[in-house]
Amino acid sequence: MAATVAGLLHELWAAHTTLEGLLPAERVFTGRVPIRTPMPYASITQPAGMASGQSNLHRYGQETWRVQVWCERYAEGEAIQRAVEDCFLNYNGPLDTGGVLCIGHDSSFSLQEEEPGRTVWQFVIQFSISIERPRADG
Amino acid sequence: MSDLVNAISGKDGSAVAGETTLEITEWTYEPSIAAPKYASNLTQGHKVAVAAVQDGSGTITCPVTASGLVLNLGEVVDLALYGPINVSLTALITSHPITVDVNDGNPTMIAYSFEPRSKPVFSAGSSS
Repeated sequence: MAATVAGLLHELWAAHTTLEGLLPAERVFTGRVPIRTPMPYASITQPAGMASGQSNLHRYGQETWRVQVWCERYAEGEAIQRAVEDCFLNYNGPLDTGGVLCIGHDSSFSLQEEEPGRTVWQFVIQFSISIERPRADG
Repeated sequence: MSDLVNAISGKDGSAVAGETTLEITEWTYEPSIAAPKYASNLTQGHKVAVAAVQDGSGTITCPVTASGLVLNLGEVVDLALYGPINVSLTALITSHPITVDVNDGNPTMIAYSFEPRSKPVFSAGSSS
């Protein structure tokens, strides 16, 4: 069980047979993708801040997390996008820091990018992740 | 040196129903008083209010957990509401609207409304 949201997303990715077959977890990175990584590859980032709240017993967070997939063919990217959504969407489970989270869909879109000598598709899938952790001072 | 006196946060607030400490995100209690008005030959052409009977109402907002409803409609319960000001009273639960947020997936909250069944007692609470 992962301690962080990013770690959990990597674990879920590696455990999803379809997604792992389309884009192996070893080509999924938190943050910047190393140069010369073969396509397709993906990056996991947290682009937006966190909304939070609390009760007398728990803290609640709402975080946006983004998966960006780069590939050479649109159909390939579309299949990966569907598999990413199937892998993460509606997951509801624990973090080993004592919290629980659930993952909801935020938005998805694709872009066509020009790189020297080739055209690349970028697929962006955003998730809204709710996190609940016990209050340390509760 | 500043003479600023810090306001007291509500972050350490809590609520106890009977013997059970509830998980809450907020409680409110709004005391009120009926204030009927009259005008006489001595009130200078203006109505004046008279303090009549006291009343009040409040809410306790709780995140929904596997326990489900923690208070029930029509239930009479002894409430102890803690915060910078404490309130204790016997209360009648009068409503608990539920909104389930499928779109954004926010934690589901229930705001239990109550009416007093006893005169509330106010006391100084936590100072942090």
